[in-house]
Amino acid sequence: MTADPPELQRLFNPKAIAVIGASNRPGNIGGIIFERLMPSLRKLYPVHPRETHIMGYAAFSEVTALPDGIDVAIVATGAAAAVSATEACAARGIPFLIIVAGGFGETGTGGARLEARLKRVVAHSASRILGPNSLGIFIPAERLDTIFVEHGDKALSRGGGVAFITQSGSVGVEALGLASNTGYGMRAFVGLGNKCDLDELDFLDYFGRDPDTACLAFYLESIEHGRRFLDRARQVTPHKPVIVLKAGRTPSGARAVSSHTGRLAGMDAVVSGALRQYGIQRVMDDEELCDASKSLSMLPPAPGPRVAVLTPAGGFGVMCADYVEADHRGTPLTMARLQPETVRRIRDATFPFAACENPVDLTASADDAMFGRSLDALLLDDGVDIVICTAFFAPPAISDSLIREIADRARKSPKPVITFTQYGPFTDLYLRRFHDAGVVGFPSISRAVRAARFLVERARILAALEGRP
Amino acid sequence: MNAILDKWHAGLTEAGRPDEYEVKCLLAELRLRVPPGRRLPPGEISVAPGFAGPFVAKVCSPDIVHKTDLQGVYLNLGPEELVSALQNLHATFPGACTLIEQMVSFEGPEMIAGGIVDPGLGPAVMVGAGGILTEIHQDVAFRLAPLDHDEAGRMLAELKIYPVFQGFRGLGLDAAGLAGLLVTVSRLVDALGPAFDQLDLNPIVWTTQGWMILDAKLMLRAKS
Repeated sequence: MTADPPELQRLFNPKAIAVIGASNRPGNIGGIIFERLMPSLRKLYPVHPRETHIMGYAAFSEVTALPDGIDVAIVATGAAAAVSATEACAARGIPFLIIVAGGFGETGTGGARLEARLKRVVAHSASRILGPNSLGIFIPAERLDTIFVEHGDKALSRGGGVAFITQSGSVGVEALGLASNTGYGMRAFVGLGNKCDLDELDFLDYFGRDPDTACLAFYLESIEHGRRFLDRARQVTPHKPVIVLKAGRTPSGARAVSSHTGRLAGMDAVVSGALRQYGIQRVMDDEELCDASKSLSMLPPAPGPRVAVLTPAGGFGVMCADYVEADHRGTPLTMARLQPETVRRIRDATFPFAACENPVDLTASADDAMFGRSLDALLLDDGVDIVICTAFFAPPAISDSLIREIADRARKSPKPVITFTQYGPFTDLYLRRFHDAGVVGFPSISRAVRAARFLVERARILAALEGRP
Repeated sequence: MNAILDKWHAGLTEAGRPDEYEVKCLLAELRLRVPPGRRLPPGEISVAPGFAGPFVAKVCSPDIVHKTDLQGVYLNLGPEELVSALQNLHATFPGACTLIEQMVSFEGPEMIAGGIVDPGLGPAVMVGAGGILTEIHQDVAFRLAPLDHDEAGRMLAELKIYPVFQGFRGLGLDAAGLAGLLVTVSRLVDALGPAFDQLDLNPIVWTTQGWMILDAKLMLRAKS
């Protein structure tokens, strides 16, 4: 059964939250979650059988003692206690339960029996469960954070457009870590856990309609209700990108395959084809999931595949051209041919002798303003669809103002501008500064070029959905 | 489609186990092109199949999947060679039917189309570079069935071999026609429903009459 999106509103914007298993004991998971929730300014109710106060809040000895009107209960006890607590919460009519506890279906038959009891709660009450074994939820804009793992949330407080929905806690923490290191705009984080009730379909629907979500990113090991997920995703993909990392590539069926077709289906060629058919962008690993969602949430689709490269460092430009023309996994890019007018504009802005082939190498003599005006020229060129800037801060006349030169143009441009930056130990810092200025940046040329492919792929999906060739 | 399938299922020699000839009859019913052919019962020799040569003679049995490997296929036969080929087939595969077909000349590469059932996502179709090296090339694209003409066109555009549809070395292979074939295959796979297991159409070749399916295998599932 799928929850109505308006119903999930209460999960993501609760007024009153109970934390079952919160304790003052250092390192206690319930206690960490409780502390994380304190800045959310919601009504908080710790539940603990013996402790009378948790971090200054009056504690309740059991679920039955809680007041009415609780929207979400976070269950942070051991597995067996979590089941009883869940049953009690459902009896109290608490609509949403986030079960952080592990020790369920993922551990064997005993755990599976406990998980079956959770499913009975869902079947016999109006309560909905996220988890068990869920990392919880994190909504930066609401300051709502139930994730007990350290994840550098200060870096994320600005929020962003990516709804990141993950079946794996560790991949989720990685995305959050990446976010705090180099910048990544997150609208919401949802740890699906074992999916005993709420699953990717619920969150696809919810964030598909959520006006603050620009892009949906899923890490999934299994796709529940495969065709329904695809059908519903196709309702979303005309409006916003949906990206899926489907891990656990298993041979297509254990049945004897006596056909060529069966053998060619191999690991999971059908999944790749099906995702493409429904306008979903597939990525193959965690880094790609984060890169794709970062790019697609912040940048427009590319109007075409022609890339211009602007650099003060020849080597990076040459490598970039190689990556642009190289193996493309179905989304070819080409190096743009610059119009004479563009070449003239760049020479006027830089040096009469500047090499204005693409890649445009301004050389180490370039300064910030030259870089900015050359970027203007490239963005004006009708033969250029995407610009990749290599922001290299070593040349003497390049300063930190280069960030603003690029950002001012990138933010306003209907064409995507992607930045590569690499500056020794300061690389992450510069990526963060670009991100804060609204610029999508990557620390390697290949990732910057790959990001361009996601934007071209997105444009092709939109064209296909609209019936254009 | 369903009426055609019901009639076809009912007419099979062995229920649920079509041989190549029966699969090709079904494809022809669906307006897909197959070579002129005639099935002969075990032991029978024909010198006049009712169409012009040269001929192909093959063993025709749902039990024999890899007929080429078992010397079950003879190509490019004149009328006299046809007789000895049939004799050989009857000797090698006693009790099996044979299929005589017109040997077709074609231009350009061999293609493959097929279908399988993905355990999570259901019936799917494939197209790609075909022939006996198809599994070495691995140049294929999959989609779920059924699909429309545009989607079939995008499958072709995904293939490395796609330039052959765009005039590469003067080849004028018709992409739209092959896309149409894929749409029909996807509808067939979808309409077969739970009975469907695997389908191979390999090779499919470009002839003066259009795309033609030279070999076809359809495996159905036993009713559970």
